[in-house]
Amino acid sequence: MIHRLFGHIDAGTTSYADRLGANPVTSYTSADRLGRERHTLFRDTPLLVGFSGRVAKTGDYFVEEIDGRSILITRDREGAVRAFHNVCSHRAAPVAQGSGNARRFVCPYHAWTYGLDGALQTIPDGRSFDGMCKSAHGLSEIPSAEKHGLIFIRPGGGDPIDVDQHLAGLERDMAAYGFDRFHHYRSLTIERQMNWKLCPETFMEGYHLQYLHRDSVGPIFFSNLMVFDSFGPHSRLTLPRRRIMELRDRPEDDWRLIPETAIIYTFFPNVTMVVQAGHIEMWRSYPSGDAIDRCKVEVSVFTPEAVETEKARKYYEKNIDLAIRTVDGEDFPLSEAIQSGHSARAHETLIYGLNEPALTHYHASLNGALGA
Amino acid sequence: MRRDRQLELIRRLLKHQEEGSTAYAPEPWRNELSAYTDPVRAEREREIFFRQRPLPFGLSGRLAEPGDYVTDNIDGNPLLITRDSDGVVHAFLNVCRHRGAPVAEGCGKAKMFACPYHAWTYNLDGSLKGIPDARSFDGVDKSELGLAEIPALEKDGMIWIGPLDRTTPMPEDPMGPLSEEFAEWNFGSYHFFGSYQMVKPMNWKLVIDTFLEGYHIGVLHKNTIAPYVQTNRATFDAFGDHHCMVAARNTLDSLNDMPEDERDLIPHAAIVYSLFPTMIGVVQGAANIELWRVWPDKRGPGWSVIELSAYVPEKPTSEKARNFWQKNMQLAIDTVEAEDFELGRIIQQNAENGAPEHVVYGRNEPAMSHYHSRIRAHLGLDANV
Repeated sequence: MIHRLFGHIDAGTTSYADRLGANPVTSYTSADRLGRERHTLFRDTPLLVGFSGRVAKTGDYFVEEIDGRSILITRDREGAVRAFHNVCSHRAAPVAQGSGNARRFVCPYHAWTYGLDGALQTIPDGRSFDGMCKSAHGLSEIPSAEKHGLIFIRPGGGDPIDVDQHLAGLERDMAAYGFDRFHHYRSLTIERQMNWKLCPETFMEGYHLQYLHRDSVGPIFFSNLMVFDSFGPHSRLTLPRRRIMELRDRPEDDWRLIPETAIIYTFFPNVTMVVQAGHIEMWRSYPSGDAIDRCKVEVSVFTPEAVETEKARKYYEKNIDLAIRTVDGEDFPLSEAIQSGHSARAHETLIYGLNEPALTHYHASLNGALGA
Repeated sequence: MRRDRQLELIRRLLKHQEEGSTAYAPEPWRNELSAYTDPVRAEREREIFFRQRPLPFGLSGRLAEPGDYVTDNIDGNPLLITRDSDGVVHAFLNVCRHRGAPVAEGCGKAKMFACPYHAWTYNLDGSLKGIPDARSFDGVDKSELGLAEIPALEKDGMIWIGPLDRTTPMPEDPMGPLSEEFAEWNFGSYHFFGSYQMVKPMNWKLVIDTFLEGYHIGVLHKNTIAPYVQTNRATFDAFGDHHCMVAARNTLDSLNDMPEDERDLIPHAAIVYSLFPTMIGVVQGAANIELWRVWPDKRGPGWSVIELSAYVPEKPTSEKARNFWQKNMQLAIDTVEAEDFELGRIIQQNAENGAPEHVVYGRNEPAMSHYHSRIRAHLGLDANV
């Protein structure tokens, strides 16, 4: 990979698509299209929701709101990851909120309790429910899978998830990182007035680095220079930092890729994982119901070590803050303006240059999945 | 304004003053209060008045010189309005042809526009000028990749943009029968002094209603403009859909003893033009003009966006002149925002509560019945409620 990057640096090139891409603006404005996306992409497709570190030990849990569905993800007593609809079997209230560690979940409405495996444990005034089969009234489970330190769920139910098959070649990279040893540092939610696809798209080319990010991360990277590789519908972009040039004075045995690059994985259809020199960001973008111009972005940050000392906290906070500030302060405000331009139907189609192969690949994958 | 028209208006106003009268409509007129709240009607109004008709934007001085530009967002349309190097006014959707980002922000003077995302550049006439890493876009026809243009027209000192549906053509003369009188003011030479935008919880027509009668001056504005402008004392003339109302100031009396050839209307009147249906222009005593522009806000029928822009006959050259105009503009804002729009907010609330079903405009409010009957006619509704 480093040789490929040097090749582009020397030639003043980047990875090229074999043709220009065109994307109809209706992808961002059509209610019919959003309906098909919600059905096919956010119910039937396995979705990446985090690293194993989000539920590191038995009893750890978190709730992920996915396009109007509240999903509870737990680690049960056997150490297995489980995923349930976060909906009480009695009157449909949510049994858990946020994240934490619990031995059981107590519904806030009538205190029905559920185990980490979703089984209904106790019913207050149980006599009043005599005759009801408790074992049939656990939380409704959906398929989940954990491999290479990644947790996937299939929110709409259906077949079990085969992670390696879903990763379509990316599993070789994933197995090598050792993500199962990473720690969850923090998560935040960002709500924006833009179509959900504008979040993953903002990470799909380095053409804008020197312009939009000229005062933030732009100077750190080569602009408009990246290596693109696709894996089924997923993709990987490798962007060199300027300091990669220092490797040329060192023997190849000392070359390390990760400190000298940002590696951006797109997990089809809605997750961007950014592998930075010191931490990993996972940006998960979801539509907000049937509002075509709204999305909810969940961001989780993972670190290779537990952040326990003040010194370590300062180190990570500085890097993480720059990364989030760049995207949330520079990319997303522009994305919202882009959405309002789309809503005004200024143009029929968007054009992706040969230097933006990830965008062309992403939209071809979406069209393939949606049968468009 | 032509001399004979001025003298004729003075005669009418003095007569009203003598008789204790004002201009009258033939009869009172009822309107449905749901005109301000019904979402179905609001959507139809957006289509007919904001998409299919050109919208008055501002006087020529808003874009005084080549390279001047203003960005705007009307009813969900991000707009870029420019004066090109040949002096021609253009309006575009402020949306880059590449990935849809806005190419300009705020207002100012520019030689070209560079998109902040990937630095594609556009000329003042909207044509695409440059693509960084152009090799990656080999095969695209640059001449087809200009900004999407919206019709614009500069006539009689007024800039019109739209229709925003980009289908209906711009009429040759949106001013219609008002054109001749409007042109006589020579507003094209006016200097843009400043503007002020606000979002208010009231239907866009309630904003216009504020300026359609002088019946309320002595009551609502007793501490602000009532000492200067007479209550319930105005002329009314329709010019097609548009109209002109002239309200007498308290100084009108002084003209009584003056020979006609010395009489001057402007210092003694407030002249209110309605550029149907989205703009009010108020010519004040120093021949300065305030333009009130309104359009619906995306929050729904109960919200609107309002812009006041002030224009003065000559560019102020001293601090004293600037202070004078600033005070003038501030009085307009204070009166209208604090008194009229505050009441408008409550009227909107009442309308949304659905009671009463109807409101009534008196014979002394001819501009109200003219404006709302023209609104109804364009919507294809019966003239009478």
